[in-house]
Amino acid sequence: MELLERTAKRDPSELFGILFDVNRCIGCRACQMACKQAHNLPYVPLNQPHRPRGEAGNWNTPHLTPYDYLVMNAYLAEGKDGETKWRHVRRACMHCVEPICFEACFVHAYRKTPEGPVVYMDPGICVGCRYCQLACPFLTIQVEWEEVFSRISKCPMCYERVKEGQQPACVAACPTKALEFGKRGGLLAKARDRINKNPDQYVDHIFGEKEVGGTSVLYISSVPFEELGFSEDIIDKSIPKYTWKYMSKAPFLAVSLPVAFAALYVYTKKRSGDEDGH
Amino acid sequence: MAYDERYTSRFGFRLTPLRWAMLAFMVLFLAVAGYRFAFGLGPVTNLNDQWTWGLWKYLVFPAVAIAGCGYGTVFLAHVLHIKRFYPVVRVAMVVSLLGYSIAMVGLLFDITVYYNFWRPFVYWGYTSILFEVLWCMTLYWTIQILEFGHIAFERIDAPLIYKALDKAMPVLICFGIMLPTLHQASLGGLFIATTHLYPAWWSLWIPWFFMISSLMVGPAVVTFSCWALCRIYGKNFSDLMPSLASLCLVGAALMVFYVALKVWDLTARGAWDYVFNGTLQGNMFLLEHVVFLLVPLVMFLIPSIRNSVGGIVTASILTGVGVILNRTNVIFTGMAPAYTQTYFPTWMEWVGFFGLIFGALLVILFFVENFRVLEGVSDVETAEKPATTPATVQG
Repeated sequence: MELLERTAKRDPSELFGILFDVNRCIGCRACQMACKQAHNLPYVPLNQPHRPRGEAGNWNTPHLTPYDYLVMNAYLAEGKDGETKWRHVRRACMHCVEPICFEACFVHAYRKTPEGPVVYMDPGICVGCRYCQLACPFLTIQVEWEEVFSRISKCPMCYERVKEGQQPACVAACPTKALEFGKRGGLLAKARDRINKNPDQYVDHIFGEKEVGGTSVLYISSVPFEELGFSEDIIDKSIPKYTWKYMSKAPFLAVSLPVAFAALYVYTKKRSGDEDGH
Repeated sequence: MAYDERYTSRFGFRLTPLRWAMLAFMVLFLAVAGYRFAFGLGPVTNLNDQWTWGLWKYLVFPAVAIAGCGYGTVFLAHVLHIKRFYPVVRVAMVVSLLGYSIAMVGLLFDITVYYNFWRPFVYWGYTSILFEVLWCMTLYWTIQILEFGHIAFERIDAPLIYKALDKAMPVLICFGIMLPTLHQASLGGLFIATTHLYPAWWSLWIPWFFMISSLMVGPAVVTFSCWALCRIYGKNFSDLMPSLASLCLVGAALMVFYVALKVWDLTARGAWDYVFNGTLQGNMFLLEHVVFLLVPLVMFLIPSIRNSVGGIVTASILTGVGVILNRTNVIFTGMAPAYTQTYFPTWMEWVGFFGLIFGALLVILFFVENFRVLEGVSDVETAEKPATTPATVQG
């Protein structure tokens, strides 16, 4: 199953994704609450000292936690529309087309499902090495630090619902159509169309179109993404391509090196034996 | 093959006040270990969702880099059969074994679901660079234990086991050296995936930088270990100087290669701006590469410094600190710009950190006191032995 998913030739435009339009979002956080309800996550107040670990009580840009697969961050920024106002940004897993968490997991606890969502499917076999978390370019993977046997927590894009043809809970809850669900190709066309029709409203950048080789969650906005808490340094290439290029050399080295060493061993042993004989 | 006369029939361990203190610290370490395994990483560490690899995971990297002294020296002495290196090869092997032991126990401390540690061997996550690291490290650790068994069973009277190990040694050595070659590179390769690492360090060549630096630090580690052990056990360090000076020259050649590769890498990626931009990261990069790489390199290359005890030991310490600093920079300094949260280890993380190091030091001392480690490869195989025997008799 896992091998099939890895080698399957997928058309990225056929994967399901979410388009988030920063301009349309009013910051009602209905998506956040719907997410909690859909995944039965507890409500933990923002001002609790351990939440989030290392940085308590930042109200406008809270971090993701094991009890929030999705949080809303707010930034005061001037947009192309000429207004300086609070902009609300969705923070959750970006569901990369080629996810490094899936590639970096050495027990296959993750799956890149055929439908598109990247799911932490098998917590039972997770070792807790947290390499996925270290490698995630968007820092959207969380660990249940308060548990004895901490495991990973991340947005599964409501895989159970998506599989049955429904929308993810956050999209279904959005009252302003800031969140839209659909095939990635269709969403990209829609986003491109919206940017082209309103060039004074949107910056010419669909975040997620090219980042790390493409993500299933896409963003458009009237504010440059660097001002909305996104890293400027996200590369455009797929990271698994780099790591696989390295890993695919390993079997060759694993066989050829011992053979080379053995040859040297025999050769130099013979030579040093000859020297002793003199 | 008679064993050294200084060994009595019983194993012994001299307990100095410092060693008592280290043993007392180990009791505290065990208490922290118990607390960690009972209550998890949350209450014990200050890790957070950004600084997810903290002090314990960090420890693996310098420990394994320093343990790189093993495979390089074994390659020279036992694969290429260069007899000049026979006197120091066993010190290299024992330090290497304990470096890996720190890493393996440290990893067990750090993984949150520790009872699942065996899963990667069964679930075969072949796409993960960590998978290669784990396989190679585990296999090589096992092989190193067997290789040490070859030393230990010289003394412990079990001829069958000794003979079997003796027969297996060539295979263990040839297969064994491949494993660290692969995983030293893979430990660096882990950071190919972390594209948010500071660009002065992030490179597609980082696996090879890790591998070469682990090889080039080897001679320095062997030199320092031999020097420290000779001081502790009142041996004549200058007996080992010819071996170590040659070994350090090999290390220096690797350092030249490393510097050349680094210059090429920074030029090809156009990353020099990240070195000279005056940030903490840029300055740490300069500190690492100038004070702790170029300076000892020059010291190793000047014959009068290389052949003096003070010179070679100082240069070795600088090289060792440089490689440790490199791993520190990759895991902490170079990651900091990408994160908004802060991390400083709790006292319990520090106890775990130093407990593992002290434990390894005590085991090294026990091995050196009870087995023929500092004496090098046994007489029968050593052609140069007649030359050194009179020196020790006189000394």
